[in-house]
Amino acid sequence: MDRNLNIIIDHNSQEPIYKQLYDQIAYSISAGILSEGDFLPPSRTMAGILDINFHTVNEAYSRLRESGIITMAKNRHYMVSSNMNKNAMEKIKPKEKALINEAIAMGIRAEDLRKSFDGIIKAMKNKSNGD
Amino acid sequence: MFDYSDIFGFIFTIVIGIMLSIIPYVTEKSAVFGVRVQPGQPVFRRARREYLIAVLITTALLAALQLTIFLKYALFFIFSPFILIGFSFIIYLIWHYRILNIKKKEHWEDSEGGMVLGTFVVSRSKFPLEYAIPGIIILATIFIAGAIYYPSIPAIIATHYGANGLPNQYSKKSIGAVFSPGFIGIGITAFMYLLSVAISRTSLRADSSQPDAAERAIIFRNRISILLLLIPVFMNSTFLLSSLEMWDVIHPGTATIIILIIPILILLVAIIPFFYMTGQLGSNLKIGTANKSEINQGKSINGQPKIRDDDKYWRAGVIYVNSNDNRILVPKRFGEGYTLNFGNKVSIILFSLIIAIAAIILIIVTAFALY
Repeated sequence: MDRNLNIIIDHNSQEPIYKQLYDQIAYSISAGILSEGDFLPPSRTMAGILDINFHTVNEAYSRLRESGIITMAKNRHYMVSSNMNKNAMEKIKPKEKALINEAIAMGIRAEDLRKSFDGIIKAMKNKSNGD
Repeated sequence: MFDYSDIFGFIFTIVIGIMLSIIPYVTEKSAVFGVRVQPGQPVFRRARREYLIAVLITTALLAALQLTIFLKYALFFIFSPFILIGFSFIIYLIWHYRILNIKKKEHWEDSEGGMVLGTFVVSRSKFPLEYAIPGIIILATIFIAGAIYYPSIPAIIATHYGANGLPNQYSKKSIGAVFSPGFIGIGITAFMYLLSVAISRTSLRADSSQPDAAERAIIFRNRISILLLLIPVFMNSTFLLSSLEMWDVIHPGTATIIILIIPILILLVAIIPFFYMTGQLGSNLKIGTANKSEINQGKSINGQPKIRDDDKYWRAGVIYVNSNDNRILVPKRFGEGYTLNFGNKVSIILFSLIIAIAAIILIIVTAFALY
């Protein structure tokens, strides 16, 4: 069976389009739809089909690249990078901190937060194994 | 009373007419007469039905004319598809602008909002190459048979036949003349193969108004790829038959035209249920709930439109011009299959090339005919 990356862009949403793109590509990787070495569509193809500006696609791609989720291959296409990214833990730390701060400020107990984290990770693993 | 070409012309007109009349029933559910809409308005049903009836009545009239007034002009059937296409396009345009007006008046869509579902090819596990084999076998048969019969082929061969089944053009025996249908077969087979590969690699915008839109689009694309690989089976069968006749191996006499075009007629008849059951982007497919994907459960937010309005990229709803899109082949809006993106320089060059090649072939053929 062919593998296809499905992206849905909601032009009614308040969320910026590059963020919608970023999140869905990251999701596709965590759900196992995209795997290491897969190429992402050229930004002009992505832009044409989703009816967005190709600079917006480039914005999402360059942020994914900064996070180390994708890399530029020799043929100048973006490629899903290997999971052996040494700086990954460093890069995710500020986001984790921000999230934990927010959760504690909202009055969520550390224990419940940990449980919720585990639950989400478990669900994602089941999903990528199930397909 | 009727000769073969009259009967053939009659059937041919009816088949083309049926194909044209069902177009509104095979398009994307959210593209009605080339206008992007939220599906389900009662006026769409009326538009589809009236279009169907008008095209079928015209078809019946043309078919009747062929067996009466135009009986002596056997080649009338060559023009009847053009008449039908022209007529159905006029009815299409009437409904296109009518629906566009209603859309504007009733503010069906807000031009800035909407959702778009894109399905992008990440990797193909395998190209359905096996479907190309039957066509290639028939093509090979032409050349093997030609090699076997070559010594017995007469020194002067008929290379063109009139509608009455009698030859009206001759050539001296040569490799080029003997195998000319075979060479055209190679060209068509190669072209269909390339087109099939190209289509199997195209990413698509799915019709997010339907559930399972992405799955539908993927099944549709695979089916079109396979169909393109199977078309040479029928074309090459015609070339095989015409070669055998040219080489004086078979003598169908007045039945020439019907024998030669039977494979293509079979293809056209078989394509109708295929198109109807698949639908553009798989719109008519029956998909079980088992393989529903999560990403695809489109939701309407605060009553805002669910589908992105892309009318501005479609001239009259049929010609796609979008320079922000680097694809060459895009799915049609009114019809089933693909069209070119005229906002892309490459496709304009390709289109001009195809027209130029067709013109050159026409000029060469005409020049030979005069000689």
